[in-house]
Amino acid sequence: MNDRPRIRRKDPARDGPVRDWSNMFRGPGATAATAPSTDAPPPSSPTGNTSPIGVPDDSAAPPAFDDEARIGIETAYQVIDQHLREGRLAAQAQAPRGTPGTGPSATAPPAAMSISSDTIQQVVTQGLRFYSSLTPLWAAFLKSLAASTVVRDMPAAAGLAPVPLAPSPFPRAAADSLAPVIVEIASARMARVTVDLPPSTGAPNLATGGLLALAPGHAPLTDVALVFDPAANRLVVRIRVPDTQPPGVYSGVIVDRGSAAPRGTITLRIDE
Amino acid sequence: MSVTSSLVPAILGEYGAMTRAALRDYLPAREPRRHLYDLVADYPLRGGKMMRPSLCIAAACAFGARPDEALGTAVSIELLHNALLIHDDIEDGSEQRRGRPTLHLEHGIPLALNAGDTLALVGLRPLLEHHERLGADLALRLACEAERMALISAEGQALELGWRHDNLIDLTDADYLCMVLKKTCWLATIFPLRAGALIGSRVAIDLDAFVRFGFFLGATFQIQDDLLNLVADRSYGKERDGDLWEGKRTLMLIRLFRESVPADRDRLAAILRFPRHERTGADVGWIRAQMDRYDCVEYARRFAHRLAGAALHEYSLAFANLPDSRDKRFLEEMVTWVVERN
Repeated sequence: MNDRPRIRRKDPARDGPVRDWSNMFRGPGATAATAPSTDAPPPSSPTGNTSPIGVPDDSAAPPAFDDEARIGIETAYQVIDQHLREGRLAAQAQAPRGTPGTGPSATAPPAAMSISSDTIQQVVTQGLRFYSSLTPLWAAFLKSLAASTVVRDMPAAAGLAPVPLAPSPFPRAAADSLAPVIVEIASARMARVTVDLPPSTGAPNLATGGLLALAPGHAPLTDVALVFDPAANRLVVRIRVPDTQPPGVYSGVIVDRGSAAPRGTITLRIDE
Repeated sequence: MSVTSSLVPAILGEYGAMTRAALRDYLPAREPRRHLYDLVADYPLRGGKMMRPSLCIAAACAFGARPDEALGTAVSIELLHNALLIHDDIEDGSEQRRGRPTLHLEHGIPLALNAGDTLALVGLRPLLEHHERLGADLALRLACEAERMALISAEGQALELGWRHDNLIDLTDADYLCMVLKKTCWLATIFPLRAGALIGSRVAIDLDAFVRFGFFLGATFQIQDDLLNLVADRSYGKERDGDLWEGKRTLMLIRLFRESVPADRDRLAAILRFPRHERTGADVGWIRAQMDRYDCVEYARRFAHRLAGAALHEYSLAFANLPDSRDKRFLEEMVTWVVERN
C-alpha cells in the first residue's frame, strides 16, 4: 500500500470543447487585444477608458474584448431572432389571405394565377395544382395519408435526405398501417413526383407498368420500380428518366400484383 | 477554407457576366432614350460586383438547379438593386457611384427619380416571366418574396433616413443591426439566398436558416462597406468619407457618440444637425479624427469579423445536408471575401 498522500487535482474549468467561433476572424492587432492585461489600449486612447486629457478613468472600465465579442454577437442574434418572430407573426396574420409562403398553403397558387390551358397536358397540370391547393382542407387526414415525397434530382445527392412534400390531398380512411413512400429519382432535369397511394397492408405486392405520357407521341417511361423495404416498412419508388425523355406529365397506375386491382397512381412532371 | 479565395472572384465573374448579358435583354432599347431609357441603363451597365445575382444563382445550383433556372431571378435582383441605388443616391445626396457622378448629379433629380421608378418596374419583368420556366406556384412564390424584400428594404431605408431627419444619434449597436438587416441584408443577401434555395429545392425547405446566414453575411458586408468608405482608395467607387458628409449612422458613428465625453458629443451632435451642404471639410475631418481617437474603426472591424464568424456558423447549418459543390464552397468563401475585399 502506498502511504503517499493521494494527489487530487482541481476539477477542470470546463468539461466540453470551447467553440468560440466568434473569434475565428481577427483583424490586425486583435490577437493582442484579446489578452486582457497587456493589450489594453494606450493611455491616450479614449476607448481605453482614458479621459480625453489622458487621465485613466477606472470607474468606467470598458468591457474586455472577449466580452465585446460576446455582447456583439448576442446583440446580433437578438436582432435576427426578433426579426424572425415578427416575420412569423406577420405571416400568420396574412395567411388567411392565401399569400404564398405565409401559411400552410405556402405552395398553393391563388386562382388568379391558374394557367389557362388548351392542351390535355396543361389541364392535368392545372388539376394537380388545384388539388395541391386543397391540401390544408385535408389536414385532418394527415395520419391517414400515405406520405408523398418529392426529390429534386441533384448532382451527387448522397447524404441529402428526401424532402417531404405536402401529403396527398385525396381523402383516406384512417389506417395505422400507413407506410411512408420514398421516391428515388434519377433525372438530368427538374422533375416533380406525386404518389397517390391509399394506406395499404399489401405494400410488398405493389407494382406498376410504367408511366405514360399524356401528350401524344411521347415514349412511355418504363424504368419505374416499386420496391418494398420491410426493415423500414416503407415503399420505395425508383424512377430513372432518360436524358432524351421529352418534358411533360407522365402518369401510371399502381396495381396489386395478385389481383391486378388498381391501388394508386404515380404522376411525374418533367420540366423543360 | 482559403484565406484569400480565388473561387469567389471566379464565380462572381462567371455568374456576373451571365447576369449582365441576360440583363441587357430587359433594358428597353427604344425612345425616349435621352430622358429615360439611357438613364435606366446607366447604373446597370456601369458594372459592379454582381454579388447579389451570384448569390442567387449559386444557392440554386448548390441545391442542384442549373444556373439558367435562377438567371431570371438574378437579373431581377440586380435591376431592382440598381433602381434602389438611384433613389438612395438622391436621398443620401451622394456624389459618386461606381467611379462616376451619380445619376441625379448628371441629369437632375426629376429625371433620375423617373429612371429609378422605371428601372424598378423593368426589374419585375423577369419575375413575371418565371411561370413559363418554373411553373406558376414557384413564380408566384418568388414574386411574393420579392415584394416582401422590397417592403422590408424600404422600412430599413426609412429607419436610417428618419434617424438623420430627426438627428438621432444616441443609437445602439442593436439599432444599427436592425437597420442593416432591413435596409441592406434583405436585398443584398437574404432574398438572393432564399430565392436561390426556393428555385433549387422547389420550395421544399425551411427558409429561416437562409435569413440567419444572409443576415450575418449581409451585416458583415455592410460594416466592411462602411469601413471602406473611410479608408478606401479610388477603386472603391464612392467618395471617400462620403458617409461622414452624409451623416450616415454607421457603427463607427454610433460608437463615437456613445464613447465621447460630453463636450465632444455636443460638438458631434451640432455638426450632424447641419444639412450636408452646410458641413465643412473641417467638420468631417474632426469626426474622422475622433473616430480614430475613440477606436471606432477598429471596433467596427472587430465587430465585422465576429459577425463573419457567426455567418460561417449559420452557413454550416443552412447548407449542412447538401453535397459538396463549387457553388456551395463559393457561398462559404463569400464570408471571408466580404471582410477581405477592398
